[in-house]
Amino acid sequence: MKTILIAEDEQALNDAYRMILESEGYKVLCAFDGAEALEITKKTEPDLILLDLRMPQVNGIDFLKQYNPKEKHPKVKIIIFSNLDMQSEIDEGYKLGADRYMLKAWASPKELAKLVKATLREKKSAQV
Amino acid sequence: MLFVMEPKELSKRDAMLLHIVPTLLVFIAFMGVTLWSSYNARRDLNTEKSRVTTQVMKSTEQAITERFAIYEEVLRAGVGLYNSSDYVSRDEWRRFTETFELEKHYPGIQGLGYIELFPKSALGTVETRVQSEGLPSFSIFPAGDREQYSAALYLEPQEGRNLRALGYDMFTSPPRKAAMDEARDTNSAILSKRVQLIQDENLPNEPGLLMFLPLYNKASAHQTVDERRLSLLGYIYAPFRANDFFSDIYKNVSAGNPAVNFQVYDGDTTSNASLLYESPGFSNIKQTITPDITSKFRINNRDLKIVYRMPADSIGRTIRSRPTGTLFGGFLFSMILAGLVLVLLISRTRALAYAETREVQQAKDDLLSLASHQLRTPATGVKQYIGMLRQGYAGKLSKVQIELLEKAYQSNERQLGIIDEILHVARIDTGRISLNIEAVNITKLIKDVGNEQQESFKNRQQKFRQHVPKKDVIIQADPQYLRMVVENLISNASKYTESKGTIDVRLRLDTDTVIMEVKDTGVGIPENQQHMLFKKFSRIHNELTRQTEGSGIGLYITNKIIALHGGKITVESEANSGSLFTVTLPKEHKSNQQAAIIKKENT
Repeated sequence: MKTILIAEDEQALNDAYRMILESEGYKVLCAFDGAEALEITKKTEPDLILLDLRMPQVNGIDFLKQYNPKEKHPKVKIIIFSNLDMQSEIDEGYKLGADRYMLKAWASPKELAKLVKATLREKKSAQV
Repeated sequence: MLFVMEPKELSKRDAMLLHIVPTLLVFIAFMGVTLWSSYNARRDLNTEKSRVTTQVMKSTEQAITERFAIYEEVLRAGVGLYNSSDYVSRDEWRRFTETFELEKHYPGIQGLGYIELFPKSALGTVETRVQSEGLPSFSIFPAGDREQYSAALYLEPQEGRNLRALGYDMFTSPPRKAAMDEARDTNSAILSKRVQLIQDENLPNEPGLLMFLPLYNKASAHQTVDERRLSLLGYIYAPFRANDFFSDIYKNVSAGNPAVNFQVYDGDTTSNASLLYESPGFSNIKQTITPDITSKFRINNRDLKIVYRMPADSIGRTIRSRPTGTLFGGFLFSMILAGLVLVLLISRTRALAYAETREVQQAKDDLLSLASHQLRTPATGVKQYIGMLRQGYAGKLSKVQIELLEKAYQSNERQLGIIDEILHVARIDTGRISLNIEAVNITKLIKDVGNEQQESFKNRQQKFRQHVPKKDVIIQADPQYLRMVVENLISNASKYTESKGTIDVRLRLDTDTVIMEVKDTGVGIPENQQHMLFKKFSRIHNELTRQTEGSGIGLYITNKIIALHGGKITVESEANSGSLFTVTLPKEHKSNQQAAIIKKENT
């Protein structure tokens, strides 16, 4: 069973994603902030991280900088998502090791599930 | 409406105050300076005119006075000679005269002469005496029986025309007699009135003058008039041509004073008969700085009238033209300056108005962006939860339940769609769009969008046809935004067409451009509303707009995106006979168009 870490500060969304992914059969860990996410990753290495870019204390970009997936956790898949599609943030996320980007408002539950499945399956994307 | 802001138009009163009053003030101020300068220039001009005129008059009159004085001295020397000797012979007089080198130093003097007075009884003796001195044809003339005669016995240089004058009885000529009498009575050098010199008998228009100085008997007193009359022996005199005299004066004075031009008249009148001399070019002077000045000039008991004419160029052109020049130049300058001030004020007002508008616009767009992003969060939440229910994550549902949830889901989707559109508008308006230009397969794009919208076509029983060239058309564009354009046009075509209509999309290539036509058989757009089509929030009034949803932003965004790509969109339509939207886009992208278009659209 694959483990997915959700880092999302909005309670309702965090719950919704957890419910969806759990019913798809994944083990779900929840963090409401980048700092909390870092704490969790110290104990477990998830298979995939759903990373919200905008979080209050430690945001998604800072998380990536500290987590250093490219060097330290090359096997972990990372999907960055936000409701603010700022190209600069997205580019920086990819540079720091994200595999996919998703606009939260786009994905219905089914689409989210599909995306997670596809990302887990594919090989680590070429680092640009 | 929140978005639409035009720069405030100033009220007429404010415009007056802000623009026209300062401009007028500037104009008046500078005109005031101009008028004052012009006035000063005119005063300076008048002063200069005065100065030049005075100088000319003074120089001329001084020269005349000096010259006559010199001539008087010559005559006096002659008298001196007679006073110092018992008898002055013809030869002695000749030698005396030659010393002066008259022609060289005393231009105008025809000669230096001695007149002797004698009674009737001495007539024969005098004639004989002179004849024996080498003048065999000498006689006193005019002939006649008179009590007393006066005759020029000596006149040097004794040659040419002067010979003719020898023997002439001056007393027979009233002007001469008058002068001689006055000289006798006053014991001073007297100038005669204008005469016709005997030497110039054949030149009627050659005015002449004579100067007489009396010669008295050495032995007798000549203090009183009576004594003088009694002791008068004769005269030393000099005839001269007025012309020669005054033209030499003119030559000397005009050397230092080019503005000198004058006429000299004898006596009190300025008639042709009394004209003694006119300087060359006098009549040719067309423009003068002042009217002719007539000056009464007294010389040796003689009144002359001198008429001065001051030509225009006696005063430098610069000074002359300064008053009008200053006025004209100052006026022009004041106008230009006032004009500049006006332009400056107007553009400043305009710039401020626009700046204010833009600031407010920017603030509103920023607020919109923020609000829209915030709105996405709860709407996303709704999407997940209703999505979960609808997509079976919470168990099987009845048909009715699915239907209800679907409606809710779709409603929420529309909400998210509107938020997207608002964000696009805000970004376009504040110029925060940058296009990612790539090679886009527009043929494929049209096919894809057509496929995606198949369901809505089926629901409305509409036919969708595409006519594309065999080879896929590649265009340099932003794929995301180009897709928005195609989606918007095709979905509009479907939305505003009744059931069973047709939607045609035609794609063709021109030399540098790609042309996409979207045609529908729908309600059409009345001509008088077509200008509103691409404006924000305008929705054309027709039956379908009431039934269909639409925020009125779609075509606005479409238009802007096309413009950003350097293209154009036009519409042909009539009410109830469908619409044809034609989009022209350049195949290659020119990047500098982008910035210019954003700037243009936002001002």
